[in-house]
Amino acid sequence: MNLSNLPKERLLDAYRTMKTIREFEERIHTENTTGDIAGFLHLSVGQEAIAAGVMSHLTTQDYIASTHRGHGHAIAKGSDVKAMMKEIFGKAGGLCGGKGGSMHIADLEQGMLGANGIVGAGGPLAIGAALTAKLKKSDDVAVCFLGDGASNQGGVFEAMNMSVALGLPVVFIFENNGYGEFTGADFSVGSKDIAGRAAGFGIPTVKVDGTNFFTIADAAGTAIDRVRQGLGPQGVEAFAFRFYGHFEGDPQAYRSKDEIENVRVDSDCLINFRASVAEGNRLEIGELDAIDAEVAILIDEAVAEARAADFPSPDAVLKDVYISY
Amino acid sequence: MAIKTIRQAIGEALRLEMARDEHVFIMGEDVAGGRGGTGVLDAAGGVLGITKDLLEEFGEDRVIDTPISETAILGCAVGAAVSGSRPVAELMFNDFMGVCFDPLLNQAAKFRYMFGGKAETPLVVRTMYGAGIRAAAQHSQTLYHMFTSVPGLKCVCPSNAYDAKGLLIQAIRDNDPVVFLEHKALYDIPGVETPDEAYTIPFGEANFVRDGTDITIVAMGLMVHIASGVAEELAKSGVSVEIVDPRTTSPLDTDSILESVEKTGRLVVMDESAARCGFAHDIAALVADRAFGSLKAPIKTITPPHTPVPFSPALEDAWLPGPEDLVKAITAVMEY
Amino acid sequence: MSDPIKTITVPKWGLTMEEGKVVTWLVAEGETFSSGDELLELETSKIANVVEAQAGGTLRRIVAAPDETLPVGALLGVLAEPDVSDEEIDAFIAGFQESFVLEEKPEDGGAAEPNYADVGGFRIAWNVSGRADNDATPVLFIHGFGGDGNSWLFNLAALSVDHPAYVIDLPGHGKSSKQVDDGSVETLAKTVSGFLDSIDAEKSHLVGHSLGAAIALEIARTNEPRVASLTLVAPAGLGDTINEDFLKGFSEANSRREMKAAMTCLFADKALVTRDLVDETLKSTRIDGAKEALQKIAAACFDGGVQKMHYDEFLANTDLPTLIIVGENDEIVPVPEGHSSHIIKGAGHMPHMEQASEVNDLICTHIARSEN
Repeated sequence: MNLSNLPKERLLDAYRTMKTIREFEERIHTENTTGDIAGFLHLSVGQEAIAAGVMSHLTTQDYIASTHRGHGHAIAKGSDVKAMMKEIFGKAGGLCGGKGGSMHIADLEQGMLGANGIVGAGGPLAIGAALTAKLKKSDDVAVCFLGDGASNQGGVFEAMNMSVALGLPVVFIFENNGYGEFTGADFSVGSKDIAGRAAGFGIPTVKVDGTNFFTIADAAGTAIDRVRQGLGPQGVEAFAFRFYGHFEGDPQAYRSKDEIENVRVDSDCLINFRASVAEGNRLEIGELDAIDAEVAILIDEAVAEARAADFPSPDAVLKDVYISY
Repeated sequence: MAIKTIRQAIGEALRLEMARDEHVFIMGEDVAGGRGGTGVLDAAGGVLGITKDLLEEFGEDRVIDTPISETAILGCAVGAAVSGSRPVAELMFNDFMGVCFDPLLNQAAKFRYMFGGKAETPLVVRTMYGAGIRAAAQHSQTLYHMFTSVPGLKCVCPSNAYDAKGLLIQAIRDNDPVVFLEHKALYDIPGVETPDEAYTIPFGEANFVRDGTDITIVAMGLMVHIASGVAEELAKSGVSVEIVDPRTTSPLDTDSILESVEKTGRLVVMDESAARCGFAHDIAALVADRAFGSLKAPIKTITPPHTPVPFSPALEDAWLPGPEDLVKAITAVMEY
Repeated sequence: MSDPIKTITVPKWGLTMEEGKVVTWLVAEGETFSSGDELLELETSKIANVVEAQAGGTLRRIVAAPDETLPVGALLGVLAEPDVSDEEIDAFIAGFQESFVLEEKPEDGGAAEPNYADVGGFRIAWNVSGRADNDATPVLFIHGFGGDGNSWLFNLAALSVDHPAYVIDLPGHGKSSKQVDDGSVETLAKTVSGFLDSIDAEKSHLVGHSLGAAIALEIARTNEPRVASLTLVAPAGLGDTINEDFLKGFSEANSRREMKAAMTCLFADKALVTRDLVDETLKSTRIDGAKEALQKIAAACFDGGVQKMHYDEFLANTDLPTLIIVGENDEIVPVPEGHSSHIIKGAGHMPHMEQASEVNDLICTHIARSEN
């Protein structure tokens, strides 16, 4: 797939998506220091290009299964940023009514099967959504986001194997950010080759730079197209870096100071994107600056509205356990 | 209308619902069987033959053989359910839940709640449970108490063919995730009148297997049949036993259990699930909490011992609660 | 009184009864009674009723104790004159028990299957009681809203002595198919007429209950010559109102609790609405399409609490022999005005179940009179 001729509108969309994720996550990082956000937060700063690149090929009919680091996936899939912010603040108007929080943000209307607190749980779920697509005889696909940590989970192995056995329309996107929690992937992935392992299950899988929108969008587009053509499960291993720790508050003692500082300079997908489009005169820098300004306002409003919103009323505790009981 | 066994009733329910709703499909290990072999397809129809012939009728898209891969089976079924299908996944033995609880415990059961009431996960997991056929420790457990304790799951344990058919159809039409447990010793016991048509039995409505006035026995699955035999015998000596079969543990028909105990004033719970934190203890606590004033004697619970299920017939027979245990408990309660 | 020793056995009430459970004896050993006296209460899977004496005598021996469950035909007790010795009675009982055989069951051990007739696209379940070679005018029982042929279980035996007695399940009810087309009384009457055609009944005595009475009236209105007599039990079609809560409650009931609440309106003696009776009823209404059929019929025949069918004028102008029977405590329909009705004490909307023998006597007399 050649993305060199991507229309201007799509380029602007991609940048807006990445920038929105970045601002959303950075702002949560700041807001969290006020103590007004409860619970665990796993930020995806540094991995925005993967979300934007993959989702640029999906419609709302296509499903994604996300991870505990799921804010970016939801934003890229089309979820309402303000409702997401309310959810993270645990407010009644949140995307999940304040019942899920950061780790369980889901948006089924957008085909987003949820962030997931269980590492690797998305694998089997995604092949289920793919099975629905197959039974409907549609050309919809399911995309499963997994980290390098999840790539070691048995359920993911089972999902990969069964997707091939049943010929399901699913794409596995391995976001290899180098660490599962506080342990390096070089240690935990025994073969040090996630793509090779997926290939061993019969899933053609490519390795790409996940910090460059164009390379990840290109690879994901090819994989998704092949799935839509009925060529069976496909995979992409996208390398990127998380700019923050595993969770907010992680002192990151397992990383060198140099690494933490360097990735912000060398591997920032937004910087990479600006450089690429400037090089080919494909966009005016002013257009990107305008998006930056709009996104800043959006996130400001999202935080202000989330802070001002009411907490859920206590009687919500007992609601929505079952549809009928 | 004819006499049907539980085995027949379950097969009939699956066939009727698959014919009624194209979104319904079955998946599991060897639900048809024979794929990749040198023999014929539909070689098995499930380990007990219950799903035999469905392949021919509904095709391979809707009768899905899977690898031996329980996490993927349940997880795939959950993902399919939340995206608009109505899967009936077969987990051959409920013991296998040990390798695949996450899709039920953390996914299906919690979606609706975690996602703020927006998810529907119309999933059925059919699974065999129970001791008595010398299947030993990893194929004989009764785990409904575990599913019952998970909010978001419904849990169904029929004891006869009429209930099995109506409850399975209800389970398939239900929009919440349902674990449907089939006691392996009951599939081929003498059947009962079961309509040929599709019908439903609502969850949370106990069956009064037998009306009585002296003592209430709460029992499910195989234990219902043991209790019925004992009640029949005791009637001759003038003890009038009422047997309440909750049929579903989640939701639970607490009203019927309390109503019965308030009438009889005595309660024995006979349960195969667990010696600790089991279903029997849940019922005993319910009655102690809400009907203490009606009790004429202490509540008795009968469960297997706190051990795995042994293999040797001599040991398994000793392990499984039987009629003598019940007679002893009833006598103690009546003579209190 | 040719035999000195007579038996009291478990009667077969209706077509599906297999066994009965003794609730209580109403006569003590040694007590003398007359024909028609109440001897004991017996409970079936559906409902309890009293067993009446077929002949007078002295109750010499109670064979079946309370709470015992026995198959149809089994010995409950023995009556004989006081001069018959205990030894003779012992010997008689021993002989009876030795020769007693269970009624034959179908091969699969299930309950007797009804017959089915295809009437205008409806699959109609039906049964007949009485001697097959009886060429007397048949009696056809038409049940009411939500019932089935089995609601005549206490009436069939008495009425089938002199006539072949037919019961059907109306469309949408019992074992009949669940489609009801527009659900109107006209459609139902056409179907019942079609059934009469299928059994070549040129003329029949129609016994209808509630909605079934309105159906009988509709048949008579449209084709009077095929009706020999009308018996209208707690009839619909002869009053303005109907208990809307019952119609709604019954046709929408999902749980046992809801169904019990609805069915309680049917009987004067609320204790008759046992859990077993409710469960049996739910077994019918829980079949796919049953509730929808009932709701369709209710919508076609009634407008909320108002009856849409009116047969007062027809009834005032017909010469057909007509008997109207109404329970004193009917909570479903009002007593028809302007027609003479037999008011049955101690009965609600189901007098043919609650006071079966009184109702049976009235119907037998009415039918006999109409034939003279």
